[in-house]
Amino acid sequence: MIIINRLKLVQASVLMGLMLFLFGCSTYNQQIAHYYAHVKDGNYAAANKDLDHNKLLKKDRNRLLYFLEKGKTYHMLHQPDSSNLYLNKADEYMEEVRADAKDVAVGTLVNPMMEKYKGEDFEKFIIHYYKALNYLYLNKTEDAIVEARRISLQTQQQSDKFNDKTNRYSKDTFSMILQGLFYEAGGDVNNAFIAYRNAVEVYEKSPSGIHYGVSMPKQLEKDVIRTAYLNGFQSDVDYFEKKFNTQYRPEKSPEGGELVLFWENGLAPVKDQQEFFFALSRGVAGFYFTDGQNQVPFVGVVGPEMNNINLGKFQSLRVTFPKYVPSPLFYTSATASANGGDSHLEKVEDVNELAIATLRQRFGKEMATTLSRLLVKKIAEYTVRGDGKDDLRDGIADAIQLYSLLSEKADTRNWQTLPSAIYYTRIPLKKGQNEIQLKTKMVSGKDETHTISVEGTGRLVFYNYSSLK
Amino acid sequence: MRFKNLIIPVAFATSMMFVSSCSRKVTRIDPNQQVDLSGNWNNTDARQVAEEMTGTILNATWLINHLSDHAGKKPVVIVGMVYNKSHEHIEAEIFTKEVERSFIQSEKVRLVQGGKKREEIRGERADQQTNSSTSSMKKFGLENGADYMLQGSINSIVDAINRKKVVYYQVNLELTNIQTNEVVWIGEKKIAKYVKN
Repeated sequence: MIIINRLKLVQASVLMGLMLFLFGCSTYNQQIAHYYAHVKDGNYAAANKDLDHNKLLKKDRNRLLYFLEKGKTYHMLHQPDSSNLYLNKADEYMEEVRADAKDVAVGTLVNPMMEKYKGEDFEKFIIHYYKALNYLYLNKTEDAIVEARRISLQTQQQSDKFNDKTNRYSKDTFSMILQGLFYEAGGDVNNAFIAYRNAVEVYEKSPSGIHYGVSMPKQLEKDVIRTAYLNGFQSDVDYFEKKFNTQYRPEKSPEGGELVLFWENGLAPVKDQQEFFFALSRGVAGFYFTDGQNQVPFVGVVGPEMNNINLGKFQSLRVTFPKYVPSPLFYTSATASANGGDSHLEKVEDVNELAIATLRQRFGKEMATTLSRLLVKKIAEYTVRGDGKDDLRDGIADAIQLYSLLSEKADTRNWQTLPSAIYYTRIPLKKGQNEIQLKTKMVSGKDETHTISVEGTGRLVFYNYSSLK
Repeated sequence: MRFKNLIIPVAFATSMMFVSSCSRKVTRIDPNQQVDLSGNWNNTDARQVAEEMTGTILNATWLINHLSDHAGKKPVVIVGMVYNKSHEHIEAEIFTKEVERSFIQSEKVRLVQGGKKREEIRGERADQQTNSSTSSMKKFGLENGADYMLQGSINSIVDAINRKKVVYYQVNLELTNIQTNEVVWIGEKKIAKYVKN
């Protein structure tokens, strides 16, 4: 009796420890709430400082998020060199990180939040946007073009991952447009044309011509025809004129060059977790899980212990899965006015739509891993419990059950200070100082005006304005 | 309590670690070795184009004709744009440099600088007018004018269905007499790849 009581005490202590260790049920967003609040308030200096004191982000498994958030806050603080110091580390990390044995073990036996964060696919593209802008602000055009080339590599990797399927996120049109703009900034209109043409092709192949919430921007139509003309590709000029039902009239380049103005609206969606209840079933093709609506195959190796499994014991497996929750928007649209002309900013990347759609696309695969992970814990519990006549075995089985309950947690991490959507336009500049009025329309219907000063140098220059609210 | 009962689930859990653990391994390979991974344009394609072009341009009749028309005076060539009209971002400089190198190594053709590098040279010459000593200062107007310009284009056609893809590249280089606008040589390299996933 004394031995059993002592064991129960140990058991209780272990459980208490586990409860503390696993942070309860709070999501990643809740755990970084302090930092996130500073970003929402526009207090980037405090946000940046906060990152250095955030224990969660300092953990090895969250290193990528730390680099991304540091890079973003330094970018917002107009310190492009420091920003790229961290974004380069993040880029390198995303390229090299692999799931090692330890990573898979903690992911399987605890939960995916304990694995190394490896980045969402769209984050791997957007990092080049910030890196290239930082380089351009530092007047390092050649380095910005390196980012354009790295977008090509990322595109190849992404296309390869999904075998170039149009119903998967295998290409990113925003990144292709960026490539074109960066090549143009470097005076390479040939590669700019290729990038624009590739982007047009992706839009054309997308259902209803909409690529993850974005229709082909009019600016892209103009740019592909203009660069075709500048390269002397008359057959392409004719082809796109016919396609877009337009007539291209060559214009003299503005003497002060042009400004590519990006407007980043709102904040990216944050991940929350949702619950599902699945039951294990056996079909002709093997084991699968079902919740009445979805059928998810079992992805583990079927061991001998699975042959004698009592399916009745696996009828309500509670699993958690991440879901994106869009952040409410303060602004709906923007217009830029300069030198007597107005231009409407067009949506070029919808992070909200991308995040939700890509998570939906990988639901089946991730749910299969999640359920199989849960089954491992359940089998361990039932194997230990045996026929339920042994108090000690029962105690340990209870401990495993409680552990499973506490440790089951969805991975709710993502780069949360990305914008909800990115808009852009091109504005002709006069030589010298130019004052651009950016008018953002609030949800309430009111307008806010922001003045941006840009030097017209005769070249293509860039500016990104963020409304991270 | 038979703890060996725990072995099965733990072994089962371990068996789920189907994700292979891998550490980065770098192996140096011969640059001439053909390694096709994705089916995209790669170093083997660039090398094949360079071999085709350098192998034919110096043995073509335009060179013999020029030497006989100009009393053995070597032709001067400038390399212009190689327009990329393909679906990929292809660095033409990788094979045009090989052609340039063959001009210099063969000592049959003289090469002059073009594009941004020429701008830089001219900038340096202009700078010398104010900053260099009179004896070392280089004069304006003494550049070697080119007799011929090498230009080119890269085109591609992609045909794909399901997991199969045929990629066809055609690289053309053309040499044009700057005085007469006459095309004196056309080099061509066709590359076709069948990619199956």
